[in-house]
Amino acid sequence: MRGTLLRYRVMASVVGVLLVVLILIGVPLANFDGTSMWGFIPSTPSWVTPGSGAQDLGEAITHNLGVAHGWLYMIFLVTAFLLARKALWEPGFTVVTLICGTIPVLSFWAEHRATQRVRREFAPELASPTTPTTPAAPPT
Amino acid sequence: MTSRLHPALRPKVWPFHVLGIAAVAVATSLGLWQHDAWQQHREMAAVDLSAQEPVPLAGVMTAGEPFPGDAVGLPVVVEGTWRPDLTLVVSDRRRDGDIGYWVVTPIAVPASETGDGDDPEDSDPSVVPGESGTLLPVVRGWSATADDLPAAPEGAVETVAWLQPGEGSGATDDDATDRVVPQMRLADVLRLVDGPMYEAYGVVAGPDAASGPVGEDPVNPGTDGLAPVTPDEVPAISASTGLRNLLYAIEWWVFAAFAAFVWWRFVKDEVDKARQPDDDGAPGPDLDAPDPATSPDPATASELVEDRRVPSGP
Repeated sequence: MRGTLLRYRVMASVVGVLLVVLILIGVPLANFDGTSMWGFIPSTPSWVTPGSGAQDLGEAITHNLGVAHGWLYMIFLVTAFLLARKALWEPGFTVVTLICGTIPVLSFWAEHRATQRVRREFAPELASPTTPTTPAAPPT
Repeated sequence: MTSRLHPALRPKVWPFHVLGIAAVAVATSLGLWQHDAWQQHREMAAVDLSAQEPVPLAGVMTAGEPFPGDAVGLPVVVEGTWRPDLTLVVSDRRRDGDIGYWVVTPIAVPASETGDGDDPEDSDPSVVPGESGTLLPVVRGWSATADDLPAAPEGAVETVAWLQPGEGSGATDDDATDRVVPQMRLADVLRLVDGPMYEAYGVVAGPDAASGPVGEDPVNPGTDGLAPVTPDEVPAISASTGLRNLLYAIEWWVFAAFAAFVWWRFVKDEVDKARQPDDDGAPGPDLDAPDPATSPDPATASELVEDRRVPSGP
């Protein structure tokens, strides 16, 4: 349980930070120049001068981080789902944890909420890692 | 037996099905969307339209609209007014091994030509025609030097130009105060011309092109004193943009597969739970039905996790 929780927390933190950089910094810098965005958003606020260093930074962030973030997100989903299975979360809690991981800032809350729950429900096992004492653990 | 329905079809499981179908459908179609963009990039790179019969600009794209993917290099007839005051040059342009500049003068295309339909200014004779139109930056030609450029043309113009989307080579403008840009990136040009502009630029078609000049003149206007720029001198569209679309497409499909797996896992849990109390009674005939979607799988995710518990201790 320790390892599963740690893997989930590391991935949630990495993805959460990158999500903030990508969505709250990269996308506005790259796109908020008063023109249309992505073909379906008709207009954006004119915060950034087109062609300026700030916009170049924004485009560098969205271009390079965009694809990388997608793959990291896959790893995050797998670690989160493995934790959900192991901690015997009900589907509702699992889905909320997975979906909130995609929302900037809210992802940190979801990680905190999930970690608190695991720590509460698996306190004995987390406290003494050498002998797993989950009630569900089968005698070997 | 509370229900004759298969456990996977009972109302309690319906929300999983709705969410599962929605997640898989959304991820799959987003993947298809990115895949289409990737294909379009490849087609844009492959097709040479430069010898086609010129068509009016208004029939190809309108102001404020994204560049149509099937119009790269298409010869268009541009009618409007030269804006010599907005002339700029693009540096680092190669021609026969020499490095020089492109000389660019925007043409203001009046509203009647932009495809926007009836504009009140169009019928008002007091308005100088074209001065208020949408700008199309037009590459007039190549020059070895940025000094000593031939005077930019003035007045009304009708010319044929090869339509191009903006470049995005990643080169940055290190001096934003001069009228030299390092690439034909439309955001850089827009900053210099400071007015409504097409999301495209044109390259004046040369005299020997099959697209040919318009009207009485033997060559398209504005090219005096400059070497012509041919479509194959236009830098190729960045291949990395297309590759990025393909990577995104694959990501979305992997995500769709993951969503499908989670969906199946949840439904399987429900099915197993529903069958548990039935075991002490008479087992239904469907209990051991060889349904591949619900048959017990020895390597379930939870068991994999159980195995990992052993090495995870310090």
